[in-house]
Amino acid sequence: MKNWTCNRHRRRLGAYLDDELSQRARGVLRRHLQECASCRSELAALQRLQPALTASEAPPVPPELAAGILAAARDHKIRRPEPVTSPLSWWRLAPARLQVAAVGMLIIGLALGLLMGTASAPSYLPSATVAQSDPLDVYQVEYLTELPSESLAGGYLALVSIPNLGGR
Amino acid sequence: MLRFAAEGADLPEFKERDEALMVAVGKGDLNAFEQIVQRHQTWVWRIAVRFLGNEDEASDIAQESFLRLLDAAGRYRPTAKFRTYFYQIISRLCLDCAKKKQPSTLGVIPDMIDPGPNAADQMVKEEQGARVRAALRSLAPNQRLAIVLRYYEDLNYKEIAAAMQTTTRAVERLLARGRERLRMILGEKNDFNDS
Repeated sequence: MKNWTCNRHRRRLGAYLDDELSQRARGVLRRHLQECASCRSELAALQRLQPALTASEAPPVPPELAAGILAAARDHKIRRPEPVTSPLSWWRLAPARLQVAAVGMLIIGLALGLLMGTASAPSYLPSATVAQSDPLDVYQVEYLTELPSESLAGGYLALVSIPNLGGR
Repeated sequence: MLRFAAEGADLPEFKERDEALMVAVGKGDLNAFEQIVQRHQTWVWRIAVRFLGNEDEASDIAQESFLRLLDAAGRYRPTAKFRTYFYQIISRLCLDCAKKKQPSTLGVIPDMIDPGPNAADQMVKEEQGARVRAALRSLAPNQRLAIVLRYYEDLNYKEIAAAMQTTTRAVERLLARGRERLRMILGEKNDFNDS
């Protein structure tokens, strides 16, 4: 039990040192540290890490770095992200006259299609007629009557031949 | 074509700020860009060299960071804090660079310890510095970057999270794992463990 508690607290010791814990979490951890010598020792070891890491200095900036960057910048061609091409981008690029003509053609085409569609539309049988007709005629399965009644086709035939009660 | 011409923002108090310089760079002002380079080259270099452990590569990454900044200047809006923006660029470049190369190809930074009162002290410091650099190189790239930003750049968790484009909780975990490994490697000789 103690090990589990210690592990849980030890994971947050770094954040405790960095002053990154909430006030409540900080209070809980501080109380645990007062009671636990092992975790205090862990905290002390973490504290010694900072001076060990920062003991050596980074090498100084190379004197030619800035000049190199500026020279590269002068010759640099600005790289811009590729613009996202929309499927309708051609439309924006088209001249206004072309846009008007295209819209006009579309409207005429739709009107013609509507006109021709209503003139030649097939006349469907009313639902009542379908329901009252002979299923063999409606489904055009008359040829199945020649097959034995116990076959799969016969079963299908019996199924489609059941009178439609809703059509009465 | 880029040009050297002062075209900064009009407000005097805004003019000298990095954000204003970036706006000017976005308009093609290379004088403003030069000011940015002079102001920020030290810390950019420091992050790159600490992270990569190699001066030549650090120079390349530092240069590429500034060129990326130049590319982005036209899209930059002063609402974003300049440093945060730049930390993201350098962080991404460092991590990409680490991904591309094998750990064994990592070079070694020459020791830059201040001359001590005597040669023996200096040798001890040089040895310690070399061990710390080797320990850093052994970390996973994202742990190493979090450690560099925390210990050498003194960024808080929120700033590190913004630079690495992650959450503060993830930063805490990266640092915890990084510290644990550093202690494991440096522990014996540096007497990190009391027990």
